Amino acid sequence: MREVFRGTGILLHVPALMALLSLPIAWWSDQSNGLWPLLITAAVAITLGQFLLLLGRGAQTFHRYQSMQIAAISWTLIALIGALPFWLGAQLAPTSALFESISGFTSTGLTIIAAPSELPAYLQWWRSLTQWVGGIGVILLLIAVLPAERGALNLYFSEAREEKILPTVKATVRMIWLIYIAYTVAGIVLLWLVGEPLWRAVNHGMTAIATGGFTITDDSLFSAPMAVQLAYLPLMIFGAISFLVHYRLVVDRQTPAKVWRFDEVRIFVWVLVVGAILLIGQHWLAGRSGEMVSLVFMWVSAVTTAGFATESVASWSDAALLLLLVAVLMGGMAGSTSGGLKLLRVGILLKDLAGQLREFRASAHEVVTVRHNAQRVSPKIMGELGRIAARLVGVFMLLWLLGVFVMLQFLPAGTPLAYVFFETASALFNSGLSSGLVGPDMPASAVGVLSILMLLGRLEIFPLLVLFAWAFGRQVIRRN
Amino acid sequence: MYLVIIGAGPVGNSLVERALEAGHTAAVVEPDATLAQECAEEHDVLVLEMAISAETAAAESHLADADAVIATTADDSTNLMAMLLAQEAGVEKRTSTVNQHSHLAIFRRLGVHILADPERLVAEHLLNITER
Repeated sequence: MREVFRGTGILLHVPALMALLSLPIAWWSDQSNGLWPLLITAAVAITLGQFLLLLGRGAQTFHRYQSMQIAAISWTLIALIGALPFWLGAQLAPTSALFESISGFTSTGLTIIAAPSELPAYLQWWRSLTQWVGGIGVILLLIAVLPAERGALNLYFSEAREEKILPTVKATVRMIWLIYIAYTVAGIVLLWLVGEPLWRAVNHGMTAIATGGFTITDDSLFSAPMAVQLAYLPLMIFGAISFLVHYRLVVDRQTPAKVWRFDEVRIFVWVLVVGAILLIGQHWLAGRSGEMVSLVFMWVSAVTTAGFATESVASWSDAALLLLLVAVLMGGMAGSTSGGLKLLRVGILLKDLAGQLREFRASAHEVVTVRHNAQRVSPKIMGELGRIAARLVGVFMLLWLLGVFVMLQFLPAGTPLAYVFFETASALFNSGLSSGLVGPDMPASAVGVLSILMLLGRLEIFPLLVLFAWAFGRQVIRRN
Repeated sequence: MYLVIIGAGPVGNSLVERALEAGHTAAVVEPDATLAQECAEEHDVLVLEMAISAETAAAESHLADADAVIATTADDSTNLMAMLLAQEAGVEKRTSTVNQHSHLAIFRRLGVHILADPERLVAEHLLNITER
């Protein structure tokens, strides 16, 4: 228990640091009116953090399930603390403030604020900052904590064996931070060059690389000119590429050809290209005149789970909405800032299926192998990876259905079911695209449900399940 | 060419590698599970985990379609069986390593191309290089 207190205590200093670093912006935008919400936030975070550190004195090294508990508890607490500026500064209702904060730290991008452009500048900045920090946080979470498909992911680290990887994690993390910052700066400059005003470029640059999707405009990017829309595409795509791939390219100077070996990279490119063509084709078949660039933008925004929008999906056909939903479900690459099931798992499941089919076709004594990341692997090993992936996909799907069921209790009768499914998926898979249900008029209970789903989705469910398991039955964990 | 290679030991593996580089297709027959698995993971070839003497070996390796059969095992009886099967299937090019000097005559009588005693060949070659 001490270990959990200690880890959480350390992490609570993150929002404190964020608030303190935002003070100059608050002073610049709102004078003393902007200072005190942030100061209170920092004070609360530091007090709580120090208190937990005090409780956690004498902690030993972390175990896997403890680091999962730390991830779950601290993400929740940080989101709670992150809601303080919205509550104190903009007088949002507590549930709405919390929703906004969770949507930020999970880099989802659903927003309950009707007119973000009317927020004081320091709160606009706070929203963007929560997404930016949440974005890097989730990369580090995956590298350091989450168990999912570690074996498959280790490929990205190096060709070396697993025991050689761990000592390099610290250096890797530092480099990934630098890459993240460099991309953010480059993105801000790019947006500024294509004509976004500086303040907007700064905010949107941060939320784009974090594939978050918060904007400081009232209509997302509906009114952005085409050149500006195009400039967002590389930012979102870079954010949705695994930062371990970025690391390989930037630090190890590997050629793109070498990175192309990874199934996940190839699937990402295929999904982007084929999906965009499908979406355009669907619009064309349905006889709708969609802007091509805008449709491509929406597709990229869905796959990367950024959640910027250039048009309202309310006017789309159900088939087009379903296509978009598939993209939201799949999401970007593991180890990126994007959400969704992750293409890593999609790839593993596809390869598992290919292995199974090949075994059906093989002669009695043939040794069957499947190509996986440029290696030939036996279907048995592929099957083990596939089982882990399928388990998570299954839990996600169940949770999605449960989420829809609960949401239906709180939404007014007559809300289109497709929209409920879409909005719930948008929260659970941290996309942020909205069919229009989320907004200032949403019932507070539904807001709460979506908040929980966003957290569950970001932490890939298991850390929170571990937390529940710990709360309801200690033995479940002790037995391991 | 389509080659059927018997044995996925060091010789067999090197042979597969060279054959693929030269643009041939190949099948490897190897009864040892570990060796067969390693070979399948290493090379893009059909690997059959079975003895050449097994009943369906000829059918599964498509022996009748082979342009050549090459036996590379350290066991002369296995090699001999492979050569006989190849002859039955009408394969023209039949090549084998022969490990026991005294078995050379039997293989010759079958009309097989022979690489006699590979280890001794290596030894002689090494001696040649040293004496040069």
